[in-house]
Amino acid sequence: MNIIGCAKCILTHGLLATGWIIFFKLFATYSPINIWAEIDSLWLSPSGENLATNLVGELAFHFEATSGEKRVMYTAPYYPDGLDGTTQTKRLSKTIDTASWQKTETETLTTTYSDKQFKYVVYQDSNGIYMRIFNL
Amino acid sequence: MNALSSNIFNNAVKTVGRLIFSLGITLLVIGIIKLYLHEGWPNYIALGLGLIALKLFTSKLARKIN
Repeated sequence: MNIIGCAKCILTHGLLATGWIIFFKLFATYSPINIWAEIDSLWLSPSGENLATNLVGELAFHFEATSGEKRVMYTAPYYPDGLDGTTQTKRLSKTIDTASWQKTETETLTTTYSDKQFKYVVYQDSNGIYMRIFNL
Repeated sequence: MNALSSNIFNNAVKTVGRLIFSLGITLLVIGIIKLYLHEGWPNYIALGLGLIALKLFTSKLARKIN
């Protein structure tokens, strides 16, 4: 294939890829099915209360809200000094101690989990499902 | 008429093949970005590679049949 043919081929596939991204964005906006959450939920093996491991054995937090919305999280913001302090992003596989992991509190829109070192608060609101990590 | 419908069918098959291939490439690129972000990359890479392999396999098969 000559250089012009190759450039044309790259351009075509670039345009097609952009088309797919736009399609996924529109699908996520107008359809009740969250395609990204569905892809994230594939091939997970349960590994404890709302915990699962993925294809390469990395630990994830797998949560399904009362509305049916799914979310798979691999990282979450950590607030070492409480909500007003600075934040760091923590990888859940490096943070969660599965042996001492347990659900400690359930409210309508908030669920709290803990292990021997941290408290993991899962919130559900109009923006979706998200988690914050605090010291115990 | 037969040649025309066969041509339309061949073009449709080619377009579907291109769409599958580009979806595979898109998922693969998303997987590579997610690998950098540590956000559930294996599913995207597996799906991307799977779709690319499916496209390559089916086009090879079609070439053999033709």
